[in-house]
Amino acid sequence: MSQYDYDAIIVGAGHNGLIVAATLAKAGQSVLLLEKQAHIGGAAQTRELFPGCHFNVGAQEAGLLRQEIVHALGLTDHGLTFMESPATHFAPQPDGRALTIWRDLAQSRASIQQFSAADAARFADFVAYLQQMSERLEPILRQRPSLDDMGRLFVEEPELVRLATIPLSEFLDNWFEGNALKGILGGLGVSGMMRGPYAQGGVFMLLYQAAQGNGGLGGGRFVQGGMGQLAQALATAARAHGAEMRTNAAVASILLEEERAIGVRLDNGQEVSAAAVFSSLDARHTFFTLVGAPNLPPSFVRRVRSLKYRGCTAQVHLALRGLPDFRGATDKTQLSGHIVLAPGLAYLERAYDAAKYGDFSPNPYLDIVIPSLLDPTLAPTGQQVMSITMQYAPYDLRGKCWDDLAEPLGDAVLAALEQIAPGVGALVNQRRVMTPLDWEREWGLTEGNIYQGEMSMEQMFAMRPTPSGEHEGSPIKKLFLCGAAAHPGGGLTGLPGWTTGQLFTQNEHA
Amino acid sequence: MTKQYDAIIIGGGHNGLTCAAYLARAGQRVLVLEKRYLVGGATVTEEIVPGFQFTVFSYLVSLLRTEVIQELELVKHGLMLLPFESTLDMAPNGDYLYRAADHWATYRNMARHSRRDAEAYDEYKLRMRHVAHAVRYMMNHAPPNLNLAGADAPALAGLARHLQHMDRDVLHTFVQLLTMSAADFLDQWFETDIVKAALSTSGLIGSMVGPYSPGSALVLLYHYLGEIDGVYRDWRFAKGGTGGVARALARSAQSFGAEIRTNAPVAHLLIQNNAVRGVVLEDEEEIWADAVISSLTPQLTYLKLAGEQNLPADLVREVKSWNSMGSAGKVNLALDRLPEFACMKGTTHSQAYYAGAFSFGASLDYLERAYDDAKYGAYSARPYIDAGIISVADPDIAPPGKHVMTCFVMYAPRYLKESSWPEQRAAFGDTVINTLAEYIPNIHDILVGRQVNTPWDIEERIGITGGNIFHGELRLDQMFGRRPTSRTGGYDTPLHNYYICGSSAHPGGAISGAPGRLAAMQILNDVGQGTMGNS
Repeated sequence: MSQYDYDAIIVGAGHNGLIVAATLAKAGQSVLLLEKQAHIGGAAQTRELFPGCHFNVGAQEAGLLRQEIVHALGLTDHGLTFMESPATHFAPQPDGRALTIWRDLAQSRASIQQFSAADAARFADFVAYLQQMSERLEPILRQRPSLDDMGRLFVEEPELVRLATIPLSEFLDNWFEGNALKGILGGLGVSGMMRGPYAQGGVFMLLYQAAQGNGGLGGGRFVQGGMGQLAQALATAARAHGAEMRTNAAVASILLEEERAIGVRLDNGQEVSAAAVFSSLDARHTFFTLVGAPNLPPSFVRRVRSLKYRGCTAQVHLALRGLPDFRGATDKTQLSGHIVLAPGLAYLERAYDAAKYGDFSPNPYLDIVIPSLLDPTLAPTGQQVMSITMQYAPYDLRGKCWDDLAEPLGDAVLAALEQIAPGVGALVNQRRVMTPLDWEREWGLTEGNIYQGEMSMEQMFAMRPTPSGEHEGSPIKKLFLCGAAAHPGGGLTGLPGWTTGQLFTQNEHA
Repeated sequence: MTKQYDAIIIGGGHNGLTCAAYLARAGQRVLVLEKRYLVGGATVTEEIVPGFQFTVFSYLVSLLRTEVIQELELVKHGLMLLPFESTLDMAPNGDYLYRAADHWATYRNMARHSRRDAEAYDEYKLRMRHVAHAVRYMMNHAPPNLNLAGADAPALAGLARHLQHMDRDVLHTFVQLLTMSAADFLDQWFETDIVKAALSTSGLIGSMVGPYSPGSALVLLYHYLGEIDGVYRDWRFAKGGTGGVARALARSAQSFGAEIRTNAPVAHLLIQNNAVRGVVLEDEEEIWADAVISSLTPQLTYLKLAGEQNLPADLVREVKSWNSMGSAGKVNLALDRLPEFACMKGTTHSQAYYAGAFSFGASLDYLERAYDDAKYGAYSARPYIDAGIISVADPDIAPPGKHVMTCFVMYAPRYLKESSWPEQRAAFGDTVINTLAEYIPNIHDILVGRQVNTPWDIEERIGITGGNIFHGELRLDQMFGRRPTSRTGGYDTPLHNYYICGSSAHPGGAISGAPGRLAAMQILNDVGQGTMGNS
């Protein structure tokens, strides 16, 4: 009989926490998963925001989720069904035309052809190149390199190094001439990032997405019943292996004994002990809120304090009376993936400019999905649910507050939407705006960063969340970060939870 | 035709001259070919307004390798570096930050803004010095050929050993510096805007990045490499302007037997069987040599002089995507008397600050907005200006009592979206003067002449393609083993007997002499003369 109540406690039932729970339980460990919200799923859940209207709050699709996790945990047997949109990206342009990227390369080429024959000719090469380079990145995403490994990679992977630091705009300008195509790619490269496409770092985001092994530009892989069904399937898998789960169970602190985690105290005062504690919260919350700075080495406290978060993503959820008309759309199937308002790199950059100075642009980058097109169960008959992910909504409004600016942001997003979907305003039954402050308050994402910490080079790999070699991410023994804050980062790949869980079970069995 | 020289160096900039001096010193018969009437390239001093000597393009010397000064006996040949005592950064809100050679004067002034920042400054400088010290290895060694990872094992092993022995904290700071923005990097130490802004500007000089742009910290690090022995006192003015550096290098090269020909523009190379045999001048004169070394930009080195048809397609593609777009202009002012700084009125500082450097626009947002204009193809409506009144330290460059002020102006993109530089040059100069007037109320009264250099002028007059003062952005993807292409190692080219030695070669731009020296070492190695100097 162990001296602990559980082999492992996992704090936070987002998809990564759930994956760790399922992985450990499957390996025979006794596991308790604690979630402070009433619902599991974290930033990938489905909520009935308005009667009969189910919205994905947070992540909109599962295009990046690793297939090996789906297989290993038998998620399709536990109720997970993917729905793939034939069109991945539909981008209306100011001149009334629209570019559509399809899952099918030939169809994409035909659409690109309307804008540029040269781009159409290069597109297949581009996708192949991304794929080829992402395959070089993939092993690094699976195993966290040390700082020394980084030095080795620096000389062994010169092309990856080049892609890590060439500005996204320069990279795309070397490939393509058309604003419509570069806008779509630019948007993918800056998603969730508080930086514009003229900066370094966006090419890495493109590769990171491509490295999840879904081919092409990826994207457009939705979950039947909404993203919450992914959490449900993971929970079912975990429970099937004996994991326990509690919702409305907020952890107040992590219990320590001589710099070692030995359990948690809930905010109702209850203490539960465990041989190991996994936190799927971000580094700031894990170490400052749950562990407490006085229990940590000062140098480590300084590192955590210096982490960059700077969330820049807002969401606007709309319950619509019907499907709006999008300019340039000829066929409803074009609309079932991502509808993108990003007509060119300069447009994106200007949207970012406003955010740098603590404002949001009236011309924002919009990434729009209408999940009810593929899955009518999400909305009442004849109606649609639309979720708009918007950039840039800077967490830091320089003295202003999101509580006052959430609705003005909603108005600005609708005004921008009206330009590509004239008449959409008249179809809106209800709307809900979610700002970086909401992500922080309700989801515990510091500064509303959806990746639990900026995915900039200096916060990736050997440096995520803090440099390797010192404490391997945590100066507290038996406390492990397992969320997006850990290597390799955010974006609903499942990798942080998967690799943390795998490593732990291997070490336990060793 | 038989060879007339062992080596021909194309371009008489400071790196070309450095390379020439080293080769001549090793006994090679060397010819330097310069298209202009004087040597120096971007390190020239010219009398533009009668009686006023302008350090036309470059203005500060900080990275010049100690090895170069000593091995080429530059002091004997007239090099004189004048220390400047202080830096005065002026903010658009009328505030200022004064840093002096006196540690406590700096501390007191910084503490005026924030005691915490004043405390952190020492710690910050110490960390930067440690990083600079660790990186010095790379400044003094040719980079490995990234295309031949296996074949270049010794260079790789040396680097790996070096990295492994770096202190972990220093290594981590180094890694941060590679990709962070200057503002984020400085955030780790400092809290006040003026301090962060003043320190961030070293991350912007000559580059098309703002303080919030990822990558600007690398430029910051690059500018710290000259400060190995301590504080910014190691930034110097050269006696006679930076042309004084070129003159000393030229004299050194000539003392070792090198020949220098000015007004001798090279049209193209003489190539036989994938090997370079010499050069053809624009007047069609042919000159034969065992080795030809180009100090020009990659575009000129490869596309113009060698010709695309003689080069591998991969290399041509890389050279065509080489980013050497300028981001700055240089405005030189002839002044009737010393300017009065509005922010210093009523303060108790002695006037020692006149002997130092100044900057105008020390605010992060101000700097970033200046960059915003440029990234969409306009020059900054309110530019950042990095300046110095060199005649205070070196009165000989101006008539008695009068002064020369050098102004490095950011940002000025190479191509203007709405117009062209010849049309906008005067308006750009006016913008600079008007911006200065915010800080120097009497500027219009004391101005007796000016020279405005735009990126267009830099390209047209001294041949730096794109006008980038470093011959190419200092970005990780354009540094080290990729500078200027990943297709060659060190200072080689795919053509036999053809080498590079300019700022577009490792380790990069600024008046360091490092590319010229390292190239010479490699060439001498190739011809079996081993290394020279104390490497």
